[in-house]
Amino acid sequence: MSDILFSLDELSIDSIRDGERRRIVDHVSLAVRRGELYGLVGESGSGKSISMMASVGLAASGLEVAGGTVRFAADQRPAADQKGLRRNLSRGVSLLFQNAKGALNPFMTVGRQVERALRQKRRVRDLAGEVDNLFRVVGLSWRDLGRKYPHQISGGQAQRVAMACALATEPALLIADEPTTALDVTTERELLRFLARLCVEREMAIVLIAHNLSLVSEYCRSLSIMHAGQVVEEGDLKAIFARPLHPYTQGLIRAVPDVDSPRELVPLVGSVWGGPQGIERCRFSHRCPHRRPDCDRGRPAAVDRDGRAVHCVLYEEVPA
Amino acid sequence: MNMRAEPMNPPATLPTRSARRPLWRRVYFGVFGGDALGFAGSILLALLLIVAIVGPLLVTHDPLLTTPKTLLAPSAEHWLGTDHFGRDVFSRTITSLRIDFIVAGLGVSGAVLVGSFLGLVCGYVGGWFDELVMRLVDIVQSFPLLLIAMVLILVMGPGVESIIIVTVLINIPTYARVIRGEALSRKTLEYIDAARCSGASEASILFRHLMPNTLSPIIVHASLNLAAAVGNVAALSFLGVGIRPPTPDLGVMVAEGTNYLVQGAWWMSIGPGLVLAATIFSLNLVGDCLEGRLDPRRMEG
Amino acid sequence: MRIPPLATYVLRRLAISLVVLFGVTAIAFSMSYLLPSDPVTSRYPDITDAQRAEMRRQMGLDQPMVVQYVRYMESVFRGDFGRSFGTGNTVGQDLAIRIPATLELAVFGIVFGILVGLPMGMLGAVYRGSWVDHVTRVLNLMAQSIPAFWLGVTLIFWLYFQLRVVPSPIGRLSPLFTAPPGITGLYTIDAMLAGRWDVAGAALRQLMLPAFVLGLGVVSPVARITRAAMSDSLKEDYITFGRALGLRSRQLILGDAFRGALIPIVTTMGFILANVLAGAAIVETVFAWPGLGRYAVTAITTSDMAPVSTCILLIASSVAVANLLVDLSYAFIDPRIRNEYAR
Repeated sequence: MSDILFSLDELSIDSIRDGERRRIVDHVSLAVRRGELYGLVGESGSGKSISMMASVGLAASGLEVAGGTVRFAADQRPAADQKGLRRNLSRGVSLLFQNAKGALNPFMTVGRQVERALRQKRRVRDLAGEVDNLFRVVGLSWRDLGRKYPHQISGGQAQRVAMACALATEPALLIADEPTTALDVTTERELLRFLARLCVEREMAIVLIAHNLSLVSEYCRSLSIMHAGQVVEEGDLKAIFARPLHPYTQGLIRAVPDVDSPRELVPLVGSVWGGPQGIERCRFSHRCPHRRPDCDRGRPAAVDRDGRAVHCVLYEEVPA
Repeated sequence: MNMRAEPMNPPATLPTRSARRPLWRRVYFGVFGGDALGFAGSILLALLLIVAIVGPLLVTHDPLLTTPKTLLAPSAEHWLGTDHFGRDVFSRTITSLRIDFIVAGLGVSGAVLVGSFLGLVCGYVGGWFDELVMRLVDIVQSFPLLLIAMVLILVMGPGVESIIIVTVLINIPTYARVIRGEALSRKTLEYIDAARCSGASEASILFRHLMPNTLSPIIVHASLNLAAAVGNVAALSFLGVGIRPPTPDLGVMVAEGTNYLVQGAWWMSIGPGLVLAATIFSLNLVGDCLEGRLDPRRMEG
Repeated sequence: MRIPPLATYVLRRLAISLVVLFGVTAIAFSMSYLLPSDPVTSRYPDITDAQRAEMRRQMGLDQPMVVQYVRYMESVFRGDFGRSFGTGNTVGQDLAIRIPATLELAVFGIVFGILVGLPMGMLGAVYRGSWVDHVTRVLNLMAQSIPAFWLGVTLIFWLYFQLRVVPSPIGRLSPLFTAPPGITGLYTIDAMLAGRWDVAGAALRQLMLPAFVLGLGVVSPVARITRAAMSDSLKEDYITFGRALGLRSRQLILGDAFRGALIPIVTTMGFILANVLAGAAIVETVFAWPGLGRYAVTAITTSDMAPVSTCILLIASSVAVANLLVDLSYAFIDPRIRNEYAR
């Protein structure tokens, strides 16, 4: 698959506190194609943000990469090489964060921040013009907002400014970590539509991290679902939604209200991090209605089925 | 949500390989948070405290006894030599350590009691009383402590009691502030209302519910305060307004020793000074370690 | 005519400060009045009661407290701040000589403290948890723990008496040199302005040790607050976003993160000033530096009322001014606060 732009292979991350080591990301693998809108979904604490941050060398302190490889374009290196991975940030990967106002420097005007982001790339000829252009691309006016400080603009505007900064280096991959969670529903839709448009127009791959499955389903082509640090189902979104295989995915979809066909909502039981600790197992088993002893014997391997990969012992016996 | 993606905490400690962690490991991590420096500091402090408490048994000579054997260099008989009155420096150092600990300790304890009470009342009652007291506290805190201390001591007459009182007064603001802050943030919590509903009197609420929660910041501030108080007491004595001779005190000893430095009698000042520095250092180490541990922002999650 | 809101804020603060200072003079005076013994007895211990009474009458010490207070306040407005019984000069004259001495010492000490403390704190924050952090923490605690008076004495003994690498601690300038024409009152600067580099050098040599000891007391609070503030600042989302944009680490740390840490650091400066004034009293005593601190200590121990009241007043004013400047600087540092003031 030569059009894979970015991939994680068996990424594992441990958290170390008070001398205790806990695996919080467990052999995560995913692949994003050029120009693809890729969704990464999971509950809070499922490890989706941590995985993506670590993939660009921004793993928080107290976290240690325990294994895995990251590939971006022609560059491939072990995930433990955080410093090396960070270099990708100026070479084609950009990020967006949930808290846009917090992401912007409170001491600089937004115009100057976009300017600074622009200067990161090769010599810019017409700096003022390019800044103005970037503002326009994200739907803002430099004349109106350029000299304002982040605390003087709205959340939606701040997120657009952050986007302008992220787009300044013309990235091939944009990792958007819950960019709309803090915004109201209308602004959320606007921004997502804008992201989807960018994705097509600039052939820019976007990894959209979210905890809201229905949101992702509208815009993404491929999807990865994580639970407690493990990928449970991954692949073509339409295929997954048409026929969800993993019990967790099924649970998630069942829990989403549907205006057109009202039914009783069935919530998922249990908590993300419950169940036996310290052993290699399927970390969903303790919440799973189809639980068997096999589930605790090791990490379920990926099984290819109908255009997606599912990690569940239920599908392991029947040959694909 | 913090975008550095700190992990949501997996549940609290579940047993790992061994059934229970060894005791020393639990203390080391539990109390000191794995901080080797704090641990070392507390050992040093414990040593000094033991020396101070056991003091009278350790002295080799009477600290107040003057002899004609003046200005002798350290020897087997006089471990730190003798001073200008022929008194044994080592014995005097140990005795001063005790006195300084007691004076500073009483001073800080007094400040803790009065300051905490004041802060508790201020935070709880609020209003003009709170405003007034806080303004006064502000004024006191923004003044150089040493000079206030000097003036107050002279006004009250030099002596151990004055120093203790002055130490109490100087340190009250710290605790008043801290406790007031805690009281303010907690007085609206539900469990206070619950206690009120169950008929508890205002006073008992004050003491039984609010006080225990303020214990950790008090301990942190107290250890750091003690370090500063010991230093201040010695400094005041050095300047001549603190503990007066012939009562031995580390600051006094350094002061007396200065006059004889020209003659090369270094043991008179260096010895007591080192002990003083070590005491302050150990107190600071412990206080700093505790501060790092109890700072609420350190909590992950 | 519209007065800018910032100006009204400043004026309001100044007005309040003046009222507070007025109250301080009253307190200061009462405290000095309550000092035991009296200047007469400390100066002339062996005189008869009749002579003492006569001297007190001459000095005006037998008047009721209120009268003495009024007379003191008159001297304040006159500008001479009363007369010192110890030196015989007006307090104003004494201060004119001594304030520059302390100022020079304090400036060098504070600059030294900041130059050492700031990088220490930054290193501790950036390399948090590593050996660098632990080393700086220990050094910091040591600096905090060593009593200034003992350090001064020890250094004098070791570096002067034993090794002779520093000049003798006899004040601002060795008797071999004459003081430069007074423009700022700071010997180092005045000498350089007059082109007398040898005098500047001599003054600098005399300053070395006392400024070092004084500065050490500044290193500790500066390093602590810098480390704490920088640690917090580095955790802020905008720093991570800056990294995500590919901005270089050095620029982010020294520019963005430091700017975020400035407010807590500057706030501590007010507290540090009080520390320095107290430290100066000790350092000047140990090094025989003819400054404000030693003047105050002597005045207090000899119950010399006018200098004591004036020194207290002076200290209170400088602390108030320092706090006001700190508050004003917030507006320059943080645009969010700038808007607060503008409201």
